[in-house]
Amino acid sequence: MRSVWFLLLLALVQLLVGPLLLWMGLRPTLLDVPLVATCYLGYAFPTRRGFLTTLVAGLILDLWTPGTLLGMHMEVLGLLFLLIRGLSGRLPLDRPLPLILVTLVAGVLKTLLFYLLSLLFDSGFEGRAASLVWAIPTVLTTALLAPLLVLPFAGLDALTGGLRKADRRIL
Amino acid sequence: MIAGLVIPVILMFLAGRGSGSSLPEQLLVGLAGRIQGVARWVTGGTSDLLNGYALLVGVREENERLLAERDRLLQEALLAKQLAVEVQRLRKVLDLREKRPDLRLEAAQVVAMDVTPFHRVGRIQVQTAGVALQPDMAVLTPEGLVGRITRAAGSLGDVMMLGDQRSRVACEVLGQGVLGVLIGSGLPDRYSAWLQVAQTEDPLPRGAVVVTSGHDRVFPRGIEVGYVLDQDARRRAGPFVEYEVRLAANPAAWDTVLVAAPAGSGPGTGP
Repeated sequence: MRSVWFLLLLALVQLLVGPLLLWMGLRPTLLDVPLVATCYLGYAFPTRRGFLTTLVAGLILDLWTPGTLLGMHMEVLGLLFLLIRGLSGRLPLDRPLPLILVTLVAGVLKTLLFYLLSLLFDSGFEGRAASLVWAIPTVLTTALLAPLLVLPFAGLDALTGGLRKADRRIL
Repeated sequence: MIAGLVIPVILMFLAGRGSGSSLPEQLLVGLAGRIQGVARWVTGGTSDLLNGYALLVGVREENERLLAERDRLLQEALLAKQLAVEVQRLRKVLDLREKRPDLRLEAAQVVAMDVTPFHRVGRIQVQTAGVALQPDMAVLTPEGLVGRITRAAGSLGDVMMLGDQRSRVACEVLGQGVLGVLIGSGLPDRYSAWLQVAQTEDPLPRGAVVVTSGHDRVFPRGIEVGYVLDQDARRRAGPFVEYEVRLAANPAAWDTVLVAAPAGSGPGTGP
């Protein structure tokens, strides 16, 4: 049930962030909410449940994003989840600075993975390196705002009782 | 967990081949389309709410401020128009003074105006700036003659209009050499008078200009009085023929008039 609430909240935040950024005169894709959600899943959820939740979130994103290969978000977010899960034992990801750093690294990796997987599987992908530059503002903004973007998910977990006591300090 | 990573790769492989029409994919895309439709409805509603309410906070105050600003500007524009009209009137008054250097003209303010039940000006009262008024002084505007002062008290004077039944003005028809007397019609609903001329005179054309002749020694010569209306409407009055005359000056349109001394004398100065 915790995962279901989490996915619903992710969909809601994803729905609101785009129009909000557009209204502010910014690029609607400036914030990568699924990336932050994956980071949160990586350190706040149990491994198996977090991984499955990440895959479902990726599947939803694949269906949601026009032009994306089915399975692309699933694969990328799944890999990132495993990476973050591995780092969560060594870094206190409930602290803002480690969270920013991990989100930054995960954002760069996500961009590279998208590029690589698109080259491998998408026959219509042109493979221009300029598309990587386009992702830099998104990665930087998302990393800087990650401690704020993670709050709705932590808040939901606190409400539904899923957040461990030790993790509540992020709130 | 490995399966969780392999399945997406298989999906990508299948989708990347361009088949794009497998049954699971069609089902998933169809389901996603429906969900996206609902989501678009939700986001559209949210956006409408934002635009229709949240973003309108402060618009009311702004609107009220703009309305007040508009009212102020309208008042200023109206005032400017009034001033422009006033300046135009005063310029005409000054022009008249320059055109008639033979007359001693003094500006007088219309301070009271009696209006007939037919919304015609029946009587006006004027006041000059320190110049003593006397009976029989002519009152005129740049449009033409208005009447004469009948009663005076210092700088205040009552004016008998040309349309008054008691009014008599010695006149001539400009360019026709026809002399006559202008008699007020006394009609409350028409600001008009009758021009009485001898029967022996040729019929006057419509629109003939009637001016003062100066023979009554009250009104200076050459002041425009009015225009002959329809010659067919003339009537006999004993040995005379009377033509209806439309008076040139509309006293309702003037706040400032000019007072001229009777012919051969000048207006006295105030005490």
